[in-house]
Amino acid sequence: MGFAERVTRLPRLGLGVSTEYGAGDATGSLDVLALATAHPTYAAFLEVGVETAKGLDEHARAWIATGRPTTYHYLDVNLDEPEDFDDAWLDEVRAIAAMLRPAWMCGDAGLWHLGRRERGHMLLLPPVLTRESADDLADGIVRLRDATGFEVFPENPPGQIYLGDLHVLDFFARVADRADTGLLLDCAHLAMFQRLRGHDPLTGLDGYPLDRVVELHVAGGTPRATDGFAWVEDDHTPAVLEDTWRIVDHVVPRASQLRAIVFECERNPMDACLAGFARLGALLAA
Amino acid sequence: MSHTVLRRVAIRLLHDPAFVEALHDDPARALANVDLSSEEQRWLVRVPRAAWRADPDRPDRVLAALRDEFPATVGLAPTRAAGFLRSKEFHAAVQERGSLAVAFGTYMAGDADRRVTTIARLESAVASVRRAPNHVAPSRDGRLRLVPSARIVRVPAGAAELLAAVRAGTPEPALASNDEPVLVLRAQGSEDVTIERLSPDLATLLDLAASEVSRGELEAAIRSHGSTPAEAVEIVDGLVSEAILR
Repeated sequence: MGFAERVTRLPRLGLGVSTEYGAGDATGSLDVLALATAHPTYAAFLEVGVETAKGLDEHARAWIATGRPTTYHYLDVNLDEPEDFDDAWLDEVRAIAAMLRPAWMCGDAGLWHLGRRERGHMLLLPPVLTRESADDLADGIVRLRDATGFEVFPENPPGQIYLGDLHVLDFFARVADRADTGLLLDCAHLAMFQRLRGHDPLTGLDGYPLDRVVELHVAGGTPRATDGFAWVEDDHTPAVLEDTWRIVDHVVPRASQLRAIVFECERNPMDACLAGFARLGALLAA
Repeated sequence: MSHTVLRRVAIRLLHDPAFVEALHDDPARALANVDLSSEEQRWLVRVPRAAWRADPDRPDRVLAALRDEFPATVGLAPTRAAGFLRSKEFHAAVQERGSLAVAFGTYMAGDADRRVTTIARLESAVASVRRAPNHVAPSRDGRLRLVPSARIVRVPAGAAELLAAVRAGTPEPALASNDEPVLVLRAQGSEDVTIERLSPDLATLLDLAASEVSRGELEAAIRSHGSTPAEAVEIVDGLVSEAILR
């Protein structure tokens, strides 16, 4: 069954929030259940960042206990490395997925650990933007989809350095085509890439399969400079850059299969995030 | 898979400013040992030098994780530890998909101070057993082997006491001139690691079980040291029940 048919079976989750192990413990961080109670449409689902070595924290478990919807955001797989799909890891993924019962799996399709998966190796880097790399990544998506039974939507990762000869949108268009999969477009990460390459925020979207976009991520970022090198820190503040909003405003009405938007603001207090949720909610409702 | 090679080089550049300078000074020489196309080399050189250090805490995060696992080694030789990210061991571990902890242990064991070498070897063994799989398939019928979460290490006598003292910040005992075997063992389903002195005979027996061996051979080895057949059975049973052999 092709993606066009498979996607029709996926739920429309609406607007949601994200978390990862320990994120809810920090002082002033977003209380996702409190948000769901006060503003149910802003927290219609929880995207749970999962590192299998850590498992699920008490906040994720409390959310699951309410029976509310989730998605599974992997944080510990280099999709383009076949050796990363060892049986022990897959068993842990399946066990955690059985608890979460996610609508789908998704996550940054980049490098989550240098070398093998072990303590002290964690990082996040974008893939090398070449055709060969895209093909290996696509094969990993199919591998994970087959191994878990869940749809797997690759996300364009953040970065300060992108190597390779492809635009990041062309890269993921190739991935989506080869894996016959949907996509998660992180609008903030795309805005970072466009700035680094000196592009307009919307450059490349005309060749990107918006009809495969199932989920969007929106988050704030902070412009930085290191000895004259300008970049954007992906710090998930509620202050969404105007470049990012331009991408969101362009994509939402054109993404015919859009099922979910996550406002990534998990380490900020609720009041600071409400304006962003309101703007995204209005866009989704339009 | 050229992109894999390329991004491993990128990881090394993100953690070692000296490598960045070497890349810009003489790209061909800096990248002589990696299989990259000229185009891929140009991509690396085109990256502004400052971009590699945009996240200045990145190297410290790696070193902090290693300090957590090698507290006594780093405590004894902090200056050498700080140079790890410039070492050939670090670069080889990244480029060859190795373990940073193993590479760090090897690098620190190259110190001139015998105490550092000794403690680095012990803490490397601890790091190794912590990385051993939790679920181990049993050996074939009638055979046994040392579990991956156990290591026999031969270190100067007094090494375990020195390790404990450095970790606790108490006066450090001297190392003896002779070596002794110790067993580094992680309890099943736990992060807890114990280090205990072994008799030479027991260490030899466990060495025999480094790869799968028949139970009969193990019992024969025990009997050759004067034990009765019943005692040999009891000793092997004990090692199995303590989850040292499986």
